[in-house]
Amino acid sequence: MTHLDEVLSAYLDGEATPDEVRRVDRHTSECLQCRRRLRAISDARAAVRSLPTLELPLGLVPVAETAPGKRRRVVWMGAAAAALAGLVTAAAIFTPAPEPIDLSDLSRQVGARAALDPGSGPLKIVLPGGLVGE
Amino acid sequence: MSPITALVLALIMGSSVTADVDGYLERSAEAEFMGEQLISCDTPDGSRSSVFSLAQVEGAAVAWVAGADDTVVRMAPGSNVTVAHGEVEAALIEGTLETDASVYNVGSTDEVEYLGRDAREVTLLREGEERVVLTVDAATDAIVRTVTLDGDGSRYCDRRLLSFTTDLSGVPSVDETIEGVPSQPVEVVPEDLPDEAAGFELVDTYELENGTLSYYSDGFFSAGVVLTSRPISFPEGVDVSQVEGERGRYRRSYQPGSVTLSWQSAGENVAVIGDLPPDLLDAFVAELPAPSTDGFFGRIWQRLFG
Repeated sequence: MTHLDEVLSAYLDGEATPDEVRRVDRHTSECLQCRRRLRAISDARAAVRSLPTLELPLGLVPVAETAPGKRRRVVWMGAAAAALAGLVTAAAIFTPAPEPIDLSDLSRQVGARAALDPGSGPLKIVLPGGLVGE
Repeated sequence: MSPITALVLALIMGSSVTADVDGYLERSAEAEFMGEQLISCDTPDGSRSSVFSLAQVEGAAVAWVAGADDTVVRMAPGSNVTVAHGEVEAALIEGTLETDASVYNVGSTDEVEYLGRDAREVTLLREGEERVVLTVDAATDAIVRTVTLDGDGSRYCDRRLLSFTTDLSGVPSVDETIEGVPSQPVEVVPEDLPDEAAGFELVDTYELENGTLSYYSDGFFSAGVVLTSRPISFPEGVDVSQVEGERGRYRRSYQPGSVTLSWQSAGENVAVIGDLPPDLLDAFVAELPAPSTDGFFGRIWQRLFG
């Protein structure tokens, strides 16, 4: 199955072509991996959008405005790169880490599934917090 | 006897032996009993043991510690409910009901006595090797003892009843009217997971909030494999060891009767939860996504995009 990583961003930005939209809709209805990727990108964007707007340092704008030609472009590109790096770093710092999954919950689900197999209940049951020793 | 007749007879006898393995398990599900159970396991991280009361009533297994704790676990087909300190935690699930015990067949049976009762000791073979010894109560068909073996024939876990009664008056009741929508298996299977690994077949896959849970079984032992973008945390107070395997680093925790392994693989977190003996666990895990460590930028990406 070919995944659609390259189109997912355009899809979320509303910049995908109608063909691409149809392709993403059809593919994500069948592909768990791409559905999760789409949700992850969407969540991350929402987190970035929720960050406060950064003010450029005083003096940087006048310098850029007064500098001629090529120097002005270099300054702007540098400022943009620095702002982007700052944004990514800030996002990494301020985006809360995903909440951990507790293995107790997962074990309970695995136990429930195992109990569907005939006769397995007494063979698989474990008691958390029982009289356990090493 | 013609070769064709011999072949037909062999096939018939072979299928009846396979059916016997299923038969022992299915008949034991009908038994009703109560007793004290000891689980004792020799694991690579040391011995693990546990004692609790166990009953099987109306097809559900109930475990509790009499008088010492108010924790009760009730496992019925498709549900696993824990009641502790008045709090109820429940998992409801649906799945493929057909069992496939084709990996096992009956090696030998012996008449024995267990807890002063007539019983039958049944040895199960997996690919010709002894892996499980069941002791089945003759009167009730309850499995009163299960010894599972590691690949070298040494004991891995011994689950045995220390007492046995058909008087169920002491079994604690658990509210069976748990509300909730059972998890349903999904058609889509994670690409990273094999359909079969070391004799374990992928039976069902379920979608989690940020991942999947896939259930594997070889007809006796079973394991759930979790793939998730979220970090995986072990419960507090559980001994977790860091293990350096051939393919990378794992976190591992053995509990009486169960084992959990967790690691990172290509930006995802993986966990295996099951009751496999150590050698089968190693062989099974070897066919799952290998551990890998993300670099600095990988960790930032993981933090931002899950």
